[in-house]
Amino acid sequence: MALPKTPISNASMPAPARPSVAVTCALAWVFPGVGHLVQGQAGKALVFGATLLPMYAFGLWFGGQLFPFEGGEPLVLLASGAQWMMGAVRLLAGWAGLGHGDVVAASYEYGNTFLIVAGLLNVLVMFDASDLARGRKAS
Amino acid sequence: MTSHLGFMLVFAALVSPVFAALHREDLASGARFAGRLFGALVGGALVLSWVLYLAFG
Repeated sequence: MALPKTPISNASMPAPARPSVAVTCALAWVFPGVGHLVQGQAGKALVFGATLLPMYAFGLWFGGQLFPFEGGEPLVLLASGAQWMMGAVRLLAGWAGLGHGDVVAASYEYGNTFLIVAGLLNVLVMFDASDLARGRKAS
Repeated sequence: MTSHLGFMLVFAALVSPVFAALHREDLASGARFAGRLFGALVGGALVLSWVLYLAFG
């Protein structure tokens, strides 16, 4: 006797456990794309990792400077904050002694722009990962 | 590298996929979006630079 073919309801299946919003945002900050990876969007994670990391590396290669936190210089403070939005990448670059800034190089300002924009783009990536974790976007 | 055009091309090539991945869900429309954005960034910069050159050059 053949059993009737009944579709398996998705409602009866337990949803895969996903990290919380805070953990997702923290992971997205630490390393670009990891927030999306833990939310099940490996393709987007690959895109973010494969673009933001080279962008930061190009910024260092072009002679960009890793700015310190200095309260007396508002623009330097903002630039530093943007660069720190790359999390572990910024930390490793600092530990490796990179980013002293070649002020006389023709590409110095380009390097700074690459470093700052990479961090600011990662903020957008963190917001997107946060939306995924909150369920505001389909994952 | 010291070419301003080269810096601009690298910058546009790296920024475009990020915005495409943020704004589009599927690969095909994302690739189209990234291509259009890349063209808009490079083309817009070239047009603006010519306008500034003709106005103030």
